[in-house]
Amino acid sequence: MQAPPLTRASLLVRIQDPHDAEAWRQFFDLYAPVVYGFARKRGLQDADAADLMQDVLRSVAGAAGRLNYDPAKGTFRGWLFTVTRNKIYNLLDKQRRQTRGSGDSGAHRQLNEVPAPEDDQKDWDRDYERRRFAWAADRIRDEFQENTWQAFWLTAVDGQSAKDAGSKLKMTPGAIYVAKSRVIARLREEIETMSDN
Amino acid sequence: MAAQICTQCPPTGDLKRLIDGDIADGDQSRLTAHLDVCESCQKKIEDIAAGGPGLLACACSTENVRPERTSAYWPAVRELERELVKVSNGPLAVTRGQDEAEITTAIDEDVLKFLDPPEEPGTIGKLGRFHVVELVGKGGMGLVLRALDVCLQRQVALKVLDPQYAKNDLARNRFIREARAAASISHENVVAVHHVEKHRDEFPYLVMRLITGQSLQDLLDEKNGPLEVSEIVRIGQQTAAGLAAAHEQTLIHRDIKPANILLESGTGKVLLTDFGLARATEDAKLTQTGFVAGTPLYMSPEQARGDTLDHRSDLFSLGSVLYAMSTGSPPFQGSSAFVVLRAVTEGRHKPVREINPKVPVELASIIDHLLAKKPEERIQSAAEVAERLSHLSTTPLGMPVVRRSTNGLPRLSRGWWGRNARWVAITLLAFNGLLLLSELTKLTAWTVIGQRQRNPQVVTLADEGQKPLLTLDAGTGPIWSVAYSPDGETVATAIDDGSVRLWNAHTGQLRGRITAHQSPVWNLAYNHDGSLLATAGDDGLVMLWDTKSNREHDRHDLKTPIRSLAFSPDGKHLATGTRSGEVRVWDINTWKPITTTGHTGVVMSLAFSPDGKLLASGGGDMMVNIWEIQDGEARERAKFAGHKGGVYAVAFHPEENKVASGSWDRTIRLWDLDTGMEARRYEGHKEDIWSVTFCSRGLFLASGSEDRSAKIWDTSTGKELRTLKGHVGTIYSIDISPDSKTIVTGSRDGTAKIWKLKD
Repeated sequence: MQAPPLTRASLLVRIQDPHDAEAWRQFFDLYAPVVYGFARKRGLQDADAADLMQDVLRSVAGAAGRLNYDPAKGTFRGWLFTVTRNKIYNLLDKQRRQTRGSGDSGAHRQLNEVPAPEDDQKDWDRDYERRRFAWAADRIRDEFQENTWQAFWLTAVDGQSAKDAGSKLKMTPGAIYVAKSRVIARLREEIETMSDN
Repeated sequence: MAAQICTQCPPTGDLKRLIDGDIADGDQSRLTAHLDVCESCQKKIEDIAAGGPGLLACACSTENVRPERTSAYWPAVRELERELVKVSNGPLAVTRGQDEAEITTAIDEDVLKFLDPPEEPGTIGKLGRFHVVELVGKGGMGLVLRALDVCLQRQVALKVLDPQYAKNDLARNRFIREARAAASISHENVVAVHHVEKHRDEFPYLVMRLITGQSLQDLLDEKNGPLEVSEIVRIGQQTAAGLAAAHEQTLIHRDIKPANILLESGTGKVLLTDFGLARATEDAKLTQTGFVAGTPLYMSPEQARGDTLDHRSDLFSLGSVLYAMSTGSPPFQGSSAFVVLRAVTEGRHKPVREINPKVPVELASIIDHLLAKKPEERIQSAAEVAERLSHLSTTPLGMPVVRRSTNGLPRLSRGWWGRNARWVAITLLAFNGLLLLSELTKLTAWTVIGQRQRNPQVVTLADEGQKPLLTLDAGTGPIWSVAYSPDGETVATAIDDGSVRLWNAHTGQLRGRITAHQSPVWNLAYNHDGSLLATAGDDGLVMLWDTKSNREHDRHDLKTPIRSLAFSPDGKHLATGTRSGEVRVWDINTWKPITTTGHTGVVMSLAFSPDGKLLASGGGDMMVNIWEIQDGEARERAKFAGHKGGVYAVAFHPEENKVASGSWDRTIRLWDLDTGMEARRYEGHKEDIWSVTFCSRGLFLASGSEDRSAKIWDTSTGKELRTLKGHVGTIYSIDISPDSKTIVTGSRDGTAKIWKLKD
């Protein structure tokens, strides 16, 4: 079963075409929560995190709708991480300088509880991948019959055993594995359409 | 529990095929049974599917990674989308609903900066001579503005390249390509482009007329089901006719979909639009760059695969549109673009008559024929589709529709718009930006760009009637001006590409070529003895060419686009008219000007009287002005008002004290200088008149029009004597030979034709 060539064009390529509204929407749908979530984890409040998210994505998009990113300099994921992290720390620094004067020890303490930089990268990667998984799953869900989908979900996400899931769905364990694998294969395909490369 | 025997582990390839579903039922059961018990194969099949452990490691529920419902995140993302997502859209979208106030999408700062400051109350700026009223919508990389053309007293739509893309080469090229594509087609079922102009010499924009209506997509949304068969046939036939016109210009539209098919309110006429993705056949290979072009719902299989296209790809899309009209939904559906495209390339569409039995067999057959996966198996031309559909429009129809829900996908309840409306919206929104705009602004009917009512005429004209003696075809663009040399041996043509071509008037052979300007050449004129040829262009230059050598004799930079030109009969003076309304008469040798106060608005035409004492000018302000030129001064002698639109052409009667003028209002009027009144009116052209000229004695006069014909009139009686048909574009300029035996017509279609004039 050969996929139409259009899915070969990764999301990052597609968003270079300002005409491609769909690609841009997918792009936001995918990355915006990651940036926002990461900002929240680093201590930003809801509104600040939302603003920062806008900030990051705007600078990503660039003035003319062309992606402001040089593939020669590393993966997109890595680049986005750097941009996000820099903005977050700039903002935090500013806030820290402001609260120092206010003597608000509570806020001060919170802002000082910043995780070590090495953890940043790991957290980011994990958030990114989880978001990507969830996003792709969302997109392909309707392609499958309910049973098939549940076979996958109960086992892969909820962690049930094939036997338990099987008895719940009235499928044999083998059928569960087949169904699960089919969904996984499709998921993988979908993820590849917006991969970094 | 009975002991289970573990069968032998199957090879990897089998497991792969099991995942792909590319397997016989018997084998599937066998392998599945094996997987019931074999742990190592269970791991293996998962590994094959996932391509490694990484994928499943990040398995988690969406809920965990979504911000809370009340979070500031959501409005922030929506705002971002509005800003940055360029809607891939049709040409327009103003929605005129109950609340006009809601309509105006927020006027961007950028748009205001781009325009000249406003001069009229209620307007937001000025673009060229147009007063911009509002931003009507964003389409692709273009903005559409509603504007007032005060000179011609009409509303127009201006399509401008979004200023932020002005420096983006890809965007610019695409915009200009779209303009050229749309402009090259002249057909009643294709939205036409009036002019392409340039703002501040940098920003190209198209001028089109604003009319009201809705798109076929809107209609389908409203109906939420199939249309009446008579409607399907009517709309299908007109769309096919418009498509045939495009194909005739070797253009492939590439984005045929209901949103690009407009239905004019009042007349219900069908207009095909948005050639933003159109490509000439040679260009079709561009798809390989990986850009998604067009909507997946109406795409052809070869488009989906990125193969080279030809015009038959549009025919498939036309079939999809007919299918959508006949059943209420597109033939290939899916929850994501990927799935839709897979269905397009490999899936079978549900037979039309199964969903809507009211559809006649012949129509269903046409649709099936168009939806053939292989281009060679489809109906091969849009013209043929139009023909076959027109046969259907005479057959009576009649049974009530039995509405059936489409059950192609699981979980769809009320057909396409059921539970999966969200998915549909996402898929459609992207590729049918019009829907997006309607959703956002909740309005129904909207304003479209189109052309004024055209007389129904197919591009290929009937063969009856006079044929030209010669056709002069340089093929490099619209011809804006034509002229016979005073000795009658040469015909000069002024062309959009900046060149002037000279042809042998008797044989039609190309005699010479002058690279005259770096812009369209609007006018040319020979002096009295043919020794000089004057040309004037949009670049503001007046060039004088020595006709013996075809070399430059002199040049003058007026620094503003020159729209009209005339040599005095004694060859001593040259009159120029500009876009800004100035008329100047220059001494050929000293280049000292005599200035007149001129018109308000562009001066489209100039003519000297036979004795050289008077100069007539016609302008966008609908006036014909007569000046007396004497002793280095110009005095206003008369002003003729009466035309209901811009005056594009003026000519003096060779023997009597009269002036003829031709106008946007489709009439030619003869003005009597002695009485100061309109002496006669010549009516018969169906569109704007661009050129008017008398024969050598004034017994008859000739006119060239946007209706693509030239007409010969009896000057004194006003009777229409003959119509010359053959051009497929507006006739901008005509000239009668010095011996009055032939007439040359120059047209937008890039050709000039020489016709015999009976005397």
